[in-house]
Amino acid sequence: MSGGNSIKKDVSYEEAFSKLEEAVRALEKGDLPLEASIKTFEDGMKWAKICEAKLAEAKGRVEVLVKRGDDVVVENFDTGSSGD
Amino acid sequence: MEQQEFIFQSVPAHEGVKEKERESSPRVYTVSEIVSLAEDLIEEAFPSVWVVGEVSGYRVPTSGHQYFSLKDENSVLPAAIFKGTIPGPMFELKDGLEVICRGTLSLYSKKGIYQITIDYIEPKGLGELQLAFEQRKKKYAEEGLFDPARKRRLPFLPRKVGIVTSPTGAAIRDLLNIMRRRFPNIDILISPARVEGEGSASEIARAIELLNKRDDIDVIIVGRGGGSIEDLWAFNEDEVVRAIYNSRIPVVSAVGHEIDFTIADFVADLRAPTPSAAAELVVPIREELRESVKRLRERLQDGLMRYIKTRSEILTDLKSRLIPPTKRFPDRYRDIDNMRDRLVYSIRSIYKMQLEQLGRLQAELRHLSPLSILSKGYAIVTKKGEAVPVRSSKDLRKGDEFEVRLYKGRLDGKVTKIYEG
Repeated sequence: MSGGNSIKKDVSYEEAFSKLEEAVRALEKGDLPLEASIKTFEDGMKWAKICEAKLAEAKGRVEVLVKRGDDVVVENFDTGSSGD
Repeated sequence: MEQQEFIFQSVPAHEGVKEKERESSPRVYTVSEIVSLAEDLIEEAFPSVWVVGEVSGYRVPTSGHQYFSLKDENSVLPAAIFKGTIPGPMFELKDGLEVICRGTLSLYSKKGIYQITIDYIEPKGLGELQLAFEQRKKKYAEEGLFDPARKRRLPFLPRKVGIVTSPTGAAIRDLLNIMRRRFPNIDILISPARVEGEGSASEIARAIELLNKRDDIDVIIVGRGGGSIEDLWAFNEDEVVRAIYNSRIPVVSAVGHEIDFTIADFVADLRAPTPSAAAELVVPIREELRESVKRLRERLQDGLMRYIKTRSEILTDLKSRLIPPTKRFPDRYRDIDNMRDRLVYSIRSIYKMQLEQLGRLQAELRHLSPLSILSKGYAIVTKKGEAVPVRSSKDLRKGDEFEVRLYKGRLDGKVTKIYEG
């Protein structure tokens, strides 16, 4: 699974971040051929972008499960009194 | 009720006994009378007593009542706890346990034995709940519920955090504030449950199960704020322990203060000392993550720049070593020049010799070619339409057409007569 040739969107932040670290280490070692170096750089930049996207992905929603008869529904949780 | 009335009625009779004794004719009691009198005396003398002793012969028949004896070195006192008479959580009674209990002494008239009917019991030395906690902890540990191999790692960055606690309690405020301070856009789903009092254990268990039915929760925090051991007791109840154990999603327990331990803490994948600590364990600080991505991005760019710089330096170095040989080795180069001249000369003379030889060979070849034979007056005869020369008069028949090739030109002919050779 090493190497960054398969870049998928459904990876976790952690995976993307470790791919980024991997790319940095490989590039910093400096023993790759030119084309592989450029590819590693490009892959690394893509992983960095995915990491940043993952950090921005969540919507900041605070919700609560509420019983409605026999069903359980999701409603917004009132955080107004939480002091922020 | 009947019995009580009887006792009541017998009180004056009891007083009369002494009078009659003095009068020398002894009173004969029925069994019921004397047992009732004794019962009356005992119950009157010990309406509520505290007794300390060791449990022995503990048994629970199908009725659900608990029977045992309290004993010390010298004596034995039968004891009973009737089902439903002791409210709240119970530790497990067993033989050998030293207990302090409160109850009333009574006489069981059908068997003529007296016993203590207990309405409160606690282990000697330890608090009752403390003992129950220790016992349950031991039991679950033996069952393997706390096996470290089962503990799962928490997700580094959860997509959504599930929280099981009271939506009006103290814990939820801390959890929300701290999580959102660390990661402002974190998604949170609260699965509400009462966290103390009758039925709270079921609510907590169900709240955990509800979150487990979803596919967007990466981690669950189960907890509440601080309180007494009674307040936190739901987190020691079997339903909660099992729900955490069976949770598909990793669970962080966050019950009470740092010093409070519950069974939930041991069965959870991770124990947070407080709800605030749970928030910190579950949610990373977004700015720190951004910062580390930024640093790695810079290192990537620097890495590539350095790589290119190193390569171009190598290139420059190699180029500098590629000085024309005439400059680096003039003598050698002159030698090479001479050699080349000589080489060219040699090749030319070889070429000339070859050319002459070729001329000779061509002349010889010409000599040998059929054409040169034909020039001497010979001819080649072939059967009409065929290429193979005719060598024998037997190859042709009378009337066959043939072709004659001469040095110059061709003739067609027809066989008119054949002479055998």
